[in-house]
Amino acid sequence: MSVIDVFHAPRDFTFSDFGTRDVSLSDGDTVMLRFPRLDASTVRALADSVRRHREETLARYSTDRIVNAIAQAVELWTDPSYSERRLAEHLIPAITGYDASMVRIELKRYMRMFRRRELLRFVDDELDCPQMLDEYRPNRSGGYTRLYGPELSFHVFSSNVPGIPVWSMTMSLLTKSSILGKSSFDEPLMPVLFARSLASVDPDMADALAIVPWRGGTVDLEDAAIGEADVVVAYGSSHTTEAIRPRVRAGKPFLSYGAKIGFALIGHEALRADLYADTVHRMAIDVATYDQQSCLAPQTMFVERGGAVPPAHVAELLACELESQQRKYPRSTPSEEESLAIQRLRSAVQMKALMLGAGPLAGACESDDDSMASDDPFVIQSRSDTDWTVLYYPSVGMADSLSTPLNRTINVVAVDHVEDALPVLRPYTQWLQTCGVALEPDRLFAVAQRVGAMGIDRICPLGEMNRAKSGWHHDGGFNLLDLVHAVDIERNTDVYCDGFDMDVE
Amino acid sequence: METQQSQKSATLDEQKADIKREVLDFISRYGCDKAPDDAFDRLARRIFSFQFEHNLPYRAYCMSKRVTPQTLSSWMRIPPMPVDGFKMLTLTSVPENDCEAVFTTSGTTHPGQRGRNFHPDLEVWDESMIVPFRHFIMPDRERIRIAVLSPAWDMNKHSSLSRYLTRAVQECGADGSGFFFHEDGLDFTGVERFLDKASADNETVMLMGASSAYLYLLDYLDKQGKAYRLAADSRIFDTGGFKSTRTDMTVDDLYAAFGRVFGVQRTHCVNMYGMTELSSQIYDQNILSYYTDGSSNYLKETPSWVRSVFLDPATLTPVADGKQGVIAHCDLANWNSCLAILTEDLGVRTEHGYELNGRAKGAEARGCSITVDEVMAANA
Repeated sequence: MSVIDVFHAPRDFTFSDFGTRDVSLSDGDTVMLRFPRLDASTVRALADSVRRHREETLARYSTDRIVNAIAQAVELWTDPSYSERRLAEHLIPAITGYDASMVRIELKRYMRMFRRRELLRFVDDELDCPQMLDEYRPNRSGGYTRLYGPELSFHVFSSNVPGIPVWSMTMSLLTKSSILGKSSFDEPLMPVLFARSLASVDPDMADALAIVPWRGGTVDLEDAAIGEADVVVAYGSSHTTEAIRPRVRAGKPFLSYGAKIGFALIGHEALRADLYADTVHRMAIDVATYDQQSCLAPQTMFVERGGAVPPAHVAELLACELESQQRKYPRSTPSEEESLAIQRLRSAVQMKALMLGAGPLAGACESDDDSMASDDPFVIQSRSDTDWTVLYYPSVGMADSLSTPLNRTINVVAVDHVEDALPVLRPYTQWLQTCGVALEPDRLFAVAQRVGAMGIDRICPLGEMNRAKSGWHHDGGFNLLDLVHAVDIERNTDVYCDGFDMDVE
Repeated sequence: METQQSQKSATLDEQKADIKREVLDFISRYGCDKAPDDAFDRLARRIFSFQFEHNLPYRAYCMSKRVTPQTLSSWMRIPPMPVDGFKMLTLTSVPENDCEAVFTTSGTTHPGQRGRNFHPDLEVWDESMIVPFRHFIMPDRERIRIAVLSPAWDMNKHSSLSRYLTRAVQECGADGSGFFFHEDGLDFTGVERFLDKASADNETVMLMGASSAYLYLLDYLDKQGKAYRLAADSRIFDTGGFKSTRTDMTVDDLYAAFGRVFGVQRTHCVNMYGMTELSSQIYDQNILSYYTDGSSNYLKETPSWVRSVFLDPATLTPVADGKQGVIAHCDLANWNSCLAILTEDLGVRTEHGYELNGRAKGAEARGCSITVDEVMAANA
């Protein structure tokens, strides 16, 4: 049985005690994941170590050098035979339950988001003068500014979507921060593999990183890490992020990326006879990718009437498309609670349909007329399991909730105009994030103005909801600016100081 | 037209009378023993046909599941109505207006939405209540002095539990029994006096009430500094679990507190599992086993006219014994609404009965997405 270390630490740091955990692979093999057993003092020592290494590396590096190092590490991942990539493709499906082909495709797309040209986009998008990360540069008010990143940032990674930690590790590195990352046992691999890639490019720089898994909610370890860090970044459910928030001292930056809900707005123009098939395919991709576990995923899709295909038929076509997604990329196995929640929602909508339609349907049994023509809510579901579920509602008022139990469970709501969807999003403001659109160009900006005002912070093409682009202002915040603080040399300071130069006239 | 209609309702009346008689016969013949499979299957099919014919929303539901009486292979295949259906649909074979009673749920999970179970009359319900009650709760005696901690039937006509408790007192209560619940809630001083007197008389008693009522009573007695050593054979009957009242207390904690405060040991604490949507109750077997062979079987058992099936949450097909599943009940006493119902409760069947593991908890997303249950919880 092979042993895989699911931690990364500076080369001169040694752990004394290890635990292990077995993972069975689809080919029948078992691998053993090895991780250090920690106590608060080890966490503090680890923080101290990466901070010291930062002094000698990251703190002295230019932003260009860091960009190049990350880019080189990412470039390794573009090679299908790269050992760490193969390991990820092999193990992550077994650890997470996600389909292997889906993981392979999504990971390779994801890693390409951090190639050099994309990293420049992250930097240049937010900073007028990226060199401010390296030295004092003239600012617009006549003085000079330098941006300082944290000495140490503590990251709490989530397990829902493999690869997300790469994003937050990259942002911290670009601000020259050392990193203490707490990975999740449900997906401990990817941040470690990425750290190893960095180590193979610049081992000294990688010594400013430590990634260790521990069970979420282990308060003494978390408090030790929070106490050491200058910035805390937490990903996960609202439950996770809210459990950490009160433990971060007031004044210490705390960035949290908690639970979100995505929506899609599909205009009638995307349902023309020549286009609807592609539109429906894109809807299915957004629902199937990572089983809606990502905050980017849609939970309700609003479909406009007036296209060649009416919304109820779109729901039926979507069901077929989800079935073919299921054949290509089978869904991961949900928990009992998740399955029951799906069953419960299915039956609630069936009951609603019966409540509205029981009269005519019961009558139809005798007269045998075409009762299905009426526009009632309906459920289409995978044959025997909870693999996928399409819940159709003929009007916005009919859906009790715009969120679903996930795991490929999607609401399709018919609207006369996509704008009709906006008022019902109001109760969800605190969770709004991504809005996938299929709209003609002159409607795009008009709709964007309105959904932006409601709290949506990402508008993207249908079919790409799960693939945020580099430079996206994650949850409406700034990737780098939220991590740094600025130091200004005020206007005239330089002139005043010139006065001490005896040679100046 | 008119004659046709009256003919039709006459048919319903006749069918109804036949069905009721058959259910009552079944109850008296098999009681709490195990009924032969074919007898159960035969009557279940009869009732299913009746409901399929007269209970139109249920019929529509069965049609959507592609099950009709003609295609039914076994009672196991009767589509169980999800409990949500009792909230949203009017599930009755006999017209709503001809029903003597309608029992409603408390609406704890989804406030504002109450499940309703219609009863044209309570003849079968009453019989279905008393036979297992005597069998599982009173195997050693005819009557016992009872204190009830929940509202009586005259206070709450729509509560099946109130009907149940009132019947228990009528049929099996000895002198000195009483209801200790008034408009303002639990009558603490009344219960205290009852307990004082029971201790003084050294009389065997039974406390009966909703599990949550005991939490308040224990708090009260604690404040009064009262603890009792009730007479031998005294028992404590609770039902319903804690629902939303208090989540930090477990059933074991509660039963330990019963030992401390009432001097009643675990062997004499018994839980009844009932639902408004059913017309029968399911019991822990420990009192029965204690008085039969001295053992303590805390697993649940149904009377002969109820069968519980444990389903895989993902596929809704039966799981093997010993594996947890979501529970569906087939209750022949539920002859008017739907005999098969799908609960949201989880349980495991073993050789000697089944274990109830409570209501399925809401699902939480694994990462930064959010599920409907979490949204509901946040908005609650």
